[in-house]
Amino acid sequence: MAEIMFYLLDVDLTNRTSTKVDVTHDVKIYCAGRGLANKLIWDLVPQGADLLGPQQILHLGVGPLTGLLGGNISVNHISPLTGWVNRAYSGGTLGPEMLDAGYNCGILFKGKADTPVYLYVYDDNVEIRDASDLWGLTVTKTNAKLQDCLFKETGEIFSMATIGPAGENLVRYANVVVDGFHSASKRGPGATMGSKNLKAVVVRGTKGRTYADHQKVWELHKLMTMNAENQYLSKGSRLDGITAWTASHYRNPSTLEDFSYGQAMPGIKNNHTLWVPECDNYNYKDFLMRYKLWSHACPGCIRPCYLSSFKHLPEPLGAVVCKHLYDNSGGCSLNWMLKTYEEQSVVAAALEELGMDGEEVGGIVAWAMDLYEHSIITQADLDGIDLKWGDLDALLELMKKIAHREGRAPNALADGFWRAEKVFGDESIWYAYEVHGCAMDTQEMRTGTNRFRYPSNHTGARKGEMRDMSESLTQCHFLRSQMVNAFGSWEEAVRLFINAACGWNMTIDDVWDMNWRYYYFNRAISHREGFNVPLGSADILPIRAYTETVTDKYDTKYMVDEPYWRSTEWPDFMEKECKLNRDGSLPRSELVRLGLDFVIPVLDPLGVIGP
Amino acid sequence: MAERSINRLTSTEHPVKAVEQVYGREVYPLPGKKVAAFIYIDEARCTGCALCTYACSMKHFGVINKDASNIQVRQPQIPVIKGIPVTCSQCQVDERECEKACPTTPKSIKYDMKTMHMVINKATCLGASCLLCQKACNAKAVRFNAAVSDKPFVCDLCDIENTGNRDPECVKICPVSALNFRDKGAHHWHRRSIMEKANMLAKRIYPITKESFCFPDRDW
Repeated sequence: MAEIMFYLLDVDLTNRTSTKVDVTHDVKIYCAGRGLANKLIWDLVPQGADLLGPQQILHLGVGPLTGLLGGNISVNHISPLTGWVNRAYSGGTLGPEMLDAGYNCGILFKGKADTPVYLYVYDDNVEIRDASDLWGLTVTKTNAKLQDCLFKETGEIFSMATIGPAGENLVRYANVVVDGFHSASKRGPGATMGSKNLKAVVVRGTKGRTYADHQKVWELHKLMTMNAENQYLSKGSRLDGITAWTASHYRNPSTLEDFSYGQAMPGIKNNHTLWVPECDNYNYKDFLMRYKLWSHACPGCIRPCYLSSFKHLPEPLGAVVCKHLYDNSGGCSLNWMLKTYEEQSVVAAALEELGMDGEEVGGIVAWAMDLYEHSIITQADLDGIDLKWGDLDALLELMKKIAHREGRAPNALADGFWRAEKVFGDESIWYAYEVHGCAMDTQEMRTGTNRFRYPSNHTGARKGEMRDMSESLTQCHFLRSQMVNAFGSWEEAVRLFINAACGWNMTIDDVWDMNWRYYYFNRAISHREGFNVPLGSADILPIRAYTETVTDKYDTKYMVDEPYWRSTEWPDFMEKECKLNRDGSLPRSELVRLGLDFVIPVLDPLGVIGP
Repeated sequence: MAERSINRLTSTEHPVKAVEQVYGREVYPLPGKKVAAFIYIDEARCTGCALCTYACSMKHFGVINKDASNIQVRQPQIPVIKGIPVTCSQCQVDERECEKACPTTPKSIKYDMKTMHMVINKATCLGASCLLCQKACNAKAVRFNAAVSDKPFVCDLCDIENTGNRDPECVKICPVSALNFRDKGAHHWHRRSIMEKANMLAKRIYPITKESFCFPDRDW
């Protein structure tokens, strides 16, 4: 079985040129997607470069399993919010189209265009086109206009990634929206895209996949799809963010039926409590009956997770189309004391129009409301908005002002927690519920394991990175249980698929080595950009996690025991789960064994490499 | 005794009752060989995963390529995205616009009454220079992709050898049972018109209009 070649589309926006680069050698070492992006960022971005400057790169990564096990793309860059390497990903059809167009390692953007542009890819035809008429439009309008124009030109429907007004105005948590409704949100890929004057990327591919053994790949996929357990999961669409989100108010596993969202807990009233009587207004069966239209899946995925929602509301709101997901708008409802699904729907739709991360907006706006209540910011700071808990009109106005950076406080909020704290003063810090300057409004850390996974994360605040090669492959991690059902273990499934797709001959050990190479390298880039220097400085929880008790519906109280957490829980987690030294430093012997010894001279002076 | 009961299950005497469990789901027996049959599509169930297109291109061309498939999953945003599978519905004689448009004599694209599905005679078909059949089909169900074939292709219900063994792969793989291989004459399994499909979608999202979905009264 012949090994396949891997190609990257290298786009220089400054000179408006593009080339197709063979990256097969690097892919065999680092894998594609985020693994390859590690290498690109390490080599191409200078240490300490301006976060929104032309020296930054943006990589829309795909891998050998994109479009086969979910349609994920990974969006890779240095985050303008944290300053460290980012981890954002999105579903949709963009990744599979890239593979079909012949770019099975994605698209790399370098430099900065002098005027707004969009990238047009139709198989081998690559053009950088003028986007002046699209600049300033919201996400839906951009998509509609671009789709219309391209359909008239080619007669084809393109897959597209766009940014909204928030990305154009460099809001540090702006997102990249794929196909108009999937989004790569976390920690500001939209701002990086906006800083390059890149409004959209449109791709259409007709060449098909370049698997080493199509027959073998298809047999494996059939084995997974036809698995009896997976058949049940596909039909029931049990992966339902709304169900989990609603049920988690009650901390009662039986209401989650057969699906558990870990120990997720949405914040309520800026994370000051775990339950208020308004929680009872949120009922997922009510949601399904009144809002849900149908389920939708990415190409190749047997687990539809996208719930289209629609509701026609009284004027002036009109018809609202949105996607309700746990970490899409779960932090923008009771965290702002909005009392019904109606109001949450409007917020979710507005987020999609403006192109901002729902989780980050949920946390930072709730913080602003808290500060306003305690007179730390005033109505004048907010450009005349009377920001009371649960006032929908005021909240929509504030979101608009943040996206357009109008007014003192909205402009500060658009830069994230850490920069805004400097504007609002030390008094505001206690009210901020954040880790690494990122909001923590959908995953309460006082109640469960989130207090380990979030602070340990070198990409900001998100969990599940240690054993996550999914985004290097790139394979949707929502499909992991299906892979386990069919093949016994995730790594065995990956081994079988990757060998069939790429023509490689990997063993289980090779899969794990590639996984840990990805993780250590990813962490090394963040260390280089200032994460955890000096050691331990970033591995902290917000002050409120140690000082404020929260109570759930059943009057159980939660708070983190700081001395125990620091002395025992945290070092144990570092050692056993993250495979790091107990103080959180990178293990030198593993770096050498995995061929990452070139990072040692750069990181040694920073003191982040242990024995 | 046991042997006799097994024979009864597999015999053709009670075809409709013999529902069997295959990979955990109910599968109805294939329509009889001399029955006009088609792929019945339940659009409301489709999630747009496109596995049917992968199965089709694997069966016909040995590659995974959604653009080399007889079935397509169109994903219009109306304004919410919805997967709509489209394939040849094996039209009745008076509706076969593709056959009527074919300029060759005898017709290169036609409905084979022996095997009961559409076939394209690749020896006589004019290929890329003509494609009148593709233009004539309202559903655009006749496909063409120069990367895999110089002739157009159309759904043959996976009877590639044209022996009469119709067994569509797309129906077998569909994880949500949106596709079914059914008798044309059987109760309510009729082909659905464009208006019927539009009606189904409109009922769900009414009263949305093109302008109303992005807050016309709010200037973002």
